[in-house]
Amino acid sequence: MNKKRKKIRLSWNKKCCICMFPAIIGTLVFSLIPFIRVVYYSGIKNQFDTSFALFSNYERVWKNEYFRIAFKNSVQLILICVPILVVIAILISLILVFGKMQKRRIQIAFILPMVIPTAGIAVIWRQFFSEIDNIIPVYLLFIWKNVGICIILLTAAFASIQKDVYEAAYLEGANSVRRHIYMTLPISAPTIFFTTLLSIVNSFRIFKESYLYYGTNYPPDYGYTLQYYMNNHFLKLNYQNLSASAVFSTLFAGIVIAAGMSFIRRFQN
Amino acid sequence: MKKYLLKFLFLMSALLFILPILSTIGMSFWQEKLSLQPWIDLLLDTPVFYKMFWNSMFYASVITILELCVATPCAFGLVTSKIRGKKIIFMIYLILMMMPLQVTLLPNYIGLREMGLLNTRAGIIFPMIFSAFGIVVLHQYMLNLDEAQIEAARLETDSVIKILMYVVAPQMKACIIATSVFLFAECFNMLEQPMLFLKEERLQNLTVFMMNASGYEGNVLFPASVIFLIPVSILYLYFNDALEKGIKL
Amino acid sequence: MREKKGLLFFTLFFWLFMIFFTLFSNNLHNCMLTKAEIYYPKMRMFYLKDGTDNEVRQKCYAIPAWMEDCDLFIAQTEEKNGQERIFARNIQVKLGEKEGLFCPIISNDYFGEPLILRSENVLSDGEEIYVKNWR
Repeated sequence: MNKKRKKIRLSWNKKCCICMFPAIIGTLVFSLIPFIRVVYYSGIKNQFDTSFALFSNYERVWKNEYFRIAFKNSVQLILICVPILVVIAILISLILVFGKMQKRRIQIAFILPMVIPTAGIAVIWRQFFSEIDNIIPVYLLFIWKNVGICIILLTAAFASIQKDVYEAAYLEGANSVRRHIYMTLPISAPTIFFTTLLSIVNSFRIFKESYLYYGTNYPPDYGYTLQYYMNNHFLKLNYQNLSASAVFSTLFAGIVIAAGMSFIRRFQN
Repeated sequence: MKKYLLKFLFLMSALLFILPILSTIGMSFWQEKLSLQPWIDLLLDTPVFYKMFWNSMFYASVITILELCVATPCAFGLVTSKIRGKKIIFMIYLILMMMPLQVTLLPNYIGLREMGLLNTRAGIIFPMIFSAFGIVVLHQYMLNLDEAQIEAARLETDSVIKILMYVVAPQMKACIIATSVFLFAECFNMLEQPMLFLKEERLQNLTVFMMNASGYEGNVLFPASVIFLIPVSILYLYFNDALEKGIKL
Repeated sequence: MREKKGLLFFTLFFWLFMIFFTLFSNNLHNCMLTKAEIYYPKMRMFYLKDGTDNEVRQKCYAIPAWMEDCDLFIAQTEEKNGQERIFARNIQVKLGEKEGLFCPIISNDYFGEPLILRSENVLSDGEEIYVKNWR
């Protein structure tokens, strides 16, 4: 009996492996194996002289003026835009979950921008902000587009809080603002942190919004982000610089993601 | 009184969120005065638009369907199997999902170049099929599946496909729908891949059309935007319940 | 469920709309254009005055004599929105004296492009036209 059961389990595992097979092969062929080549490219001098140059590519990229501007802008985006985005999302979700109004229809309005193609909306954005000469329109576009996913995650978390948690506070006469600051937010803190992390990750992807808004490969300096840098080197087919900055961005994103994940995990425990 | 003011403010902010969409629709009927001229320019005078519209639809639908076919078994395998290292595989997918697109584009480009798939439809479709998003979202949702049911089903049948179709899929309905809507929206909106992987105009999608629209004659941008917004909005409005319930991260 | 029904209706309408225009946009577009007929002028022998008293026999492009007083338009293809299309262009040419039914074009910058023989409406320079007997 025992033996037979073990046999079934083994074949089940094998079947699961077969299930995973196509996806993993695809990822290997299109992402992981080429990524090893990217690392290789970033280490050699150039395509014709394949001797190893170790860090000279990295050094060149790091010293590049535009790379620095791009890096600064990307960090600035995370530091300014993401907190604003999360706060807005929290406020809206609180009202949606705890406010007493017909919320289904209203929720649609906040989430719809998430699925709307940016290219379709960039035109009207340009029309709205044609006179403004700074980065704020792009930030607004980013917030507009990303509030939806945050609201989905946050409303789910808020709605799953048991109602009797609030009863004690209610009896003590705490008003609704205090109640939410001291109870709702701490209880759903892991979700809030996760939302923040997700927003940071999404801020790495702001290129599309920015590119469609400016409509050019060379936006003004304040709008120049890491992705522009890489995109422009892509168009020039400058593999060494491109690979070095790709590896660099991978590390940067990886560190941010890993730090965020471990923070959340520690918080949950 | 204060309560009504708050309510009013909230409704206003909701309105602010759909204002860009409404004004896009409004602007498409405007050319110095109220007129249908932009629509006539687009619909009758710019035949390229249709090619790119159907291209977009083709890419988005094919990628969504194929990615679901690939990702669902993979996520199922990751959740139910007891292989060592499945956690690592999942972590790799999680990191891949969170990577900026520009980072994954270069490996994709190199991979496609080696296989001679640049400048073909397959070159757009394949890397997207194996994107990590579907696997991660489905995996997270499957963690909440009723394991007892799967165990019971395993006593009945040996076929994984049957279990997937009759036991897993019905429980996953909301998640599968939400994932498809997201994937579709993402593919409908993709810009970098066609821009970098495709050279020929006949293969491009609508996003690239919008980028180049200033080069076309007539005031085609706004009506094209409106048509661009419609398919995804329909999908969302139709499936919004599933979309809000089906995402667990 | 009632609102979803409306949405379903709209979806159906949208797809029919898109399919209809994909299939028929070209035809509709052609219907909206001014229809015109072209012809290719042929070379003929003319007696031309060359400033002195002599008359020179020379081969020239000939247009029908009744077109002598009209504005002349040629049809030429240009690329517009990624497609080859036909446009009417006004040309200023010097005409010689008519001989019988024909009138010679003396200018040197005319090389036998298709002339618009008749059109539905009055043409303006640079207007897109639909030519029934193109090529």
